[in-house]
Amino acid sequence: MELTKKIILTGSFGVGKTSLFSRFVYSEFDEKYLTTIGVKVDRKTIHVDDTKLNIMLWDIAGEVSQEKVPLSYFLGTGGVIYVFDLTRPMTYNNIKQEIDYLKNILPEATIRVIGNKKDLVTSAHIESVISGLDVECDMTTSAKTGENVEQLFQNMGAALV
Amino acid sequence: MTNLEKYRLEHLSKSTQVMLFDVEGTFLESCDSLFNTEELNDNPLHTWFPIAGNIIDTLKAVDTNTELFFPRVEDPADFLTGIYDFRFVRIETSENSKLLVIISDFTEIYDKYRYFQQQYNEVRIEKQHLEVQLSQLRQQGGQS
Repeated sequence: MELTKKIILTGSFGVGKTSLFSRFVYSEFDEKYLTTIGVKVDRKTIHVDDTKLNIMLWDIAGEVSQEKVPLSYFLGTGGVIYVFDLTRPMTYNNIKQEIDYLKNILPEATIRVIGNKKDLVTSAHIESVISGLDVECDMTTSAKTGENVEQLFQNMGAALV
Repeated sequence: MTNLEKYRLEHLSKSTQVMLFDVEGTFLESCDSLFNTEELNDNPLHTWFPIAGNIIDTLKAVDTNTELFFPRVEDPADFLTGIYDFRFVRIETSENSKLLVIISDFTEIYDKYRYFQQQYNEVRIEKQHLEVQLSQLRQQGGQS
């Protein structure tokens, strides 16, 4: 069986969405931060059991509030990866409000909450951040080292198939 | 055509490409202002740009003449780098339904916008890191 699904990467600015995008699609990482002002889209195919899953991955410009993201970017979305930065509380302080907004506009979508930049913090710090969140954190990743990046998309793919 | 209309068309045509596809995404015609479609036109629309991947299904779900507008699409294809606005509209002609695709090149303007957004974001990120450090120092001060 072959399926095509749209997955979006969203969240505040500077949390590493584009780095996760580049790590997953191109197996690349660039230390330099270059802000995304709109959207980048690319494709990658993965296999989930017997299913060939064509992922259309949308890397959306970071906004403090998801309400500022053009609604057209969300059209046809099957999966949402909401990314926050484990080193910056401002990127997860209002996370419940942001996730509730996404659930409201995309009631059918699968949503995953991801803490990125785990290479910059200790395990104790990660535990502390996750336990203080108002929503469940599904995974922590490092786009820099690649830790959990493939697993993130395999996990999302499995949920979409 | 008036002179004003002629100048307007000449000016706009430099930065905007208008294309027509059938409702299944098969190429019909293009003005080729931004890129040459000759080598692409045997392939369906969804293979031209990743952003058009599920656009046909989406357009089938909305009313005719509803414009789907995607601003600031960065590097939309290998053959089209820069920052563009995309518009997709399903239109009804006297014969049948067609898909109108309009791509406008705003790379120059959006590059300037990106420059200022980059500066702004870097300052805000630095400020947030300093706030975290300040908070940690205050906690350490309170403990000692």
